[in-house]
Amino acid sequence: MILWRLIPELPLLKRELTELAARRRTYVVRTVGAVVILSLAVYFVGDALASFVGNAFPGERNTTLKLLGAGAIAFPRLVWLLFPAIQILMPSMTCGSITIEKERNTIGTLFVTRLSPMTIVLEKLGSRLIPMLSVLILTFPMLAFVYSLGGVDQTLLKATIWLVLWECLLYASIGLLCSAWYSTTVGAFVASYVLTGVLFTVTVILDFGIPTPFRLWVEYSRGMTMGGGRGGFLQTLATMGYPLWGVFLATIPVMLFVVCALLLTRFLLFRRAFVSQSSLLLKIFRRVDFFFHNLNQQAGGVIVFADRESFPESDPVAWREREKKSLGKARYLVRILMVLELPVLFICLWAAIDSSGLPTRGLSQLLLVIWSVVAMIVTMKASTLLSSERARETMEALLSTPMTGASILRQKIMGMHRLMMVLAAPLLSVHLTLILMYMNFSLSFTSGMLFQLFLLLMYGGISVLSTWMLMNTIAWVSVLCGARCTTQARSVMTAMVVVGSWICLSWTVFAIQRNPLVYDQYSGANLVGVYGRNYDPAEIGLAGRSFLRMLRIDGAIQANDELLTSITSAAFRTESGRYFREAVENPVSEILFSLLVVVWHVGLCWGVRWIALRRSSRLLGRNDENLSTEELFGAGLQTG
Amino acid sequence: MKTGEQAVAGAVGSQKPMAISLRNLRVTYGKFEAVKGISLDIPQGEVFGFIGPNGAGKSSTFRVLATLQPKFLGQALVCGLDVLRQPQKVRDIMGFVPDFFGVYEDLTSLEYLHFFAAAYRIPMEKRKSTIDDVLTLTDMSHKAHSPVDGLSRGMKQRLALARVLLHDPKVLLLDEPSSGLDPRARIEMRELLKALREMGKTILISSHILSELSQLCTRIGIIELGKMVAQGSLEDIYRQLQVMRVVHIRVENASPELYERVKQIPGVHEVEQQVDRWAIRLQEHDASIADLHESLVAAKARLTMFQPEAMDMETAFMKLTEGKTV
Repeated sequence: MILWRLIPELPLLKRELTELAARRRTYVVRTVGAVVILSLAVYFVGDALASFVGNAFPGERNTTLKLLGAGAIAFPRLVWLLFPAIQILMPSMTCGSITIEKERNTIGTLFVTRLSPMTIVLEKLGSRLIPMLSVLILTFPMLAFVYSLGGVDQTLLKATIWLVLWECLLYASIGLLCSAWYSTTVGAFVASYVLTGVLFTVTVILDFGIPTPFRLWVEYSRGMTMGGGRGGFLQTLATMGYPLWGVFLATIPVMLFVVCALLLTRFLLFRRAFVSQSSLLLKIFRRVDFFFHNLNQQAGGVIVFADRESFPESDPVAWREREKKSLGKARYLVRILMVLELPVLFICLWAAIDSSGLPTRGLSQLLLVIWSVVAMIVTMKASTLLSSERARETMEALLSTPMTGASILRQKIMGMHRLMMVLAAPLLSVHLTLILMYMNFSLSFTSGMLFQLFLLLMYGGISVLSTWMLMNTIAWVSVLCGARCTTQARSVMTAMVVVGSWICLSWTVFAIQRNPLVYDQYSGANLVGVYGRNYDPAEIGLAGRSFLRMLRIDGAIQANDELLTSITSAAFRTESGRYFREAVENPVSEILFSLLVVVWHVGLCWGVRWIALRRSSRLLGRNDENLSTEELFGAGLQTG
Repeated sequence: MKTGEQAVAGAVGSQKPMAISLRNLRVTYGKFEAVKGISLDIPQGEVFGFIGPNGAGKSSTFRVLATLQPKFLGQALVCGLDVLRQPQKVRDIMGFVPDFFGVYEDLTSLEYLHFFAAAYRIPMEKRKSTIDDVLTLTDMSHKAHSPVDGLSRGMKQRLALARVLLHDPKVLLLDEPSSGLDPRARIEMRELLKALREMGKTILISSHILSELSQLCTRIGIIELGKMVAQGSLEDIYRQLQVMRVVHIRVENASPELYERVKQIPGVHEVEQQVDRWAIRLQEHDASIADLHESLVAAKARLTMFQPEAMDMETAFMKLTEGKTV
């Protein structure tokens, strides 16, 4: 009882947890999260046990005895699941903790209470850490089961718990820091994931040796189970038998980082509490605009597109999106085009003059990077098309006009077309470079060259079509996701999660099943989810690849890449590096399958659009009469 | 007091074409029933005031009539058109100003009106003259080129009215048009609504400012907890509720005898002696103000002041509602 009294009251933490408990969404997310995590856990553990039983004691009959010691294999696989789960979930859970107070205008009320800034920060941290730990606790029954199988050292178990806790704190502190800096949840959300991505790239992909808890756990568990240990401190630990205190010492840099991040959050809490809310994207583009404006002043102030009062004729919603919003105005868009296009052209030029063969793979990866940026911009813009109307309370006035819901949606997307065209320019530049690079100019003017020219033109045409269709698909999916959301932050997050999940879908489905279509039986590497044909193993059949690309939202681009490599198969045969398939299958069938995928994606785009228009009245929240065929197909064919 | 069906039957009996007709309207949000069987008839050209505490179901009723409520039970007709089955046609003849509304910050007033003129499909050749007309009517011509975001709240309200007048609707639905306005803007808004009434528009208006509705409305409906507790003309409601009129008098020859005589006058319910005056509570259905004056003179009261208070709508409202909604 006395101990209970010693615990401070923590009103903010109590409020946050009560709010969380009162939301239905909390339970839905937890249930879905639990099902996903436990399913994966069961799969990984089951797989590990199966391989252990199958390989360890081939002649043994008693299966129960055969399982003894299997924990040594199952445990690392299970824990492996926890770290990515933290990296994915923690930033999204913490990024809104302070921004939400700013968005609701309640942060000032917090400041006038007796809560100190550090208390506010710590209680906010606790309010996000507790739900995260409650999700992780869901895996404890599995961990207990694995531990009971034997083979797991107690020190490893303790070290794992310690490192998982610090992994949570590390990403929570990053999320909190972003939340204190940004005025909107959307801004904090994007920034925290960018920082998480950078940290992951630096520590895991590029392996710079920065001791994040994940990195430490990988090295530590590997050292304990397989012996040895890489470099410096861990090497020293290996010689000492991996003591637990060594792990504590190894986490000191992480602890310092977390403390510094929390102190910085506390410092920013007041200073960034009342910063004006504006779109992150708009802010970046305004900076770009400012830079070009100054540049233009130096050049004599030439004005090609001047802002003027203009009026709509027939499609007012599209007119406003095009003429009156910053991301629709020609003046802004030309500048954005310059910023996006110039570096891409530079890289393309470099690729074109380099003769080592590497640039082809480089361009393929560049395409992936540009696509990621383009998809993010389109998703953010499209998902907020309707929620911004709701947030600014302009929706009801719009809905009480005689425009149909389908017409409003169609016009909203039409208003994005200029932006899409600008975003398509760098992508098409890469495609054009690839065409020029694969074009064999040394051939004489023969029917062979004409055929090659025809194929390259077809590739160009399909590139334009697939680029346009993919952007439209993402836009319509994002509109569908964000339509019912009342806040812009929620609509952006929902759309990003859906689009991201879709992209990961094929990877998840096929990786789990270890389908021979996508699993490289020789190297053991997972080969799906990497862009382009370059990483496709020979074991994946043409039909399998096409099926995969039908599943992915960006499958048309991959198919297009395949088409290019097929029609220029001669060029590829000469570069039979380990990333390339040795033998190209029948080019005609590859072309046909690629076309099939592109056609499928055109249909998919049309289907998503049809669903959105069909459900427009429900999405917008009003009565509408049955839509005419023209509304669903005809008018949209020309404009939407 | 007429409630629900009785009042509707009375209005139907007048044989005027109905601009708005609601029959047993029910609106639910999950398990919460916001509107519980409202019936209402508003003949064309009438200004109907909708009064009720916050959360009583006013805005839900407005949303139904504005075709913004996809699910509800009962029947809602606007000029004979079914809101659920013919929403497009209803939007053509109806203008709606919601209680909370924003404006597009990136447009000027003129662009804003052009935006909605295009949304209301007003032909291009008519647009300029129509917009000029509504700007003049709402006295917004001088702000035509000003950014909408920079307008005061009163100006924004007038711009919203200009917006809904663009397509010359027969029915106007105004949800709390005067809320948040300063006294000057409120008076200007009232004058504007009077002008619209003169133009023969049917107006359904809700407001918390009861005195404002009493000056503007031909009939009122009082709603609480999703139910219509009273509707009819103001006089009808006062009479039905037996709301007493307070008349302040000052007499030269004040005495206990005179006080007793005044108390005996028919219709006088109570006489309260205040510092410099007497406050007489009069039951108007027994005696009119003129009758009281005549009786006071007959009782030999030498009047130096005779001041009847305005009709007390707040009292009516308080009497009819129980304050169960917030």
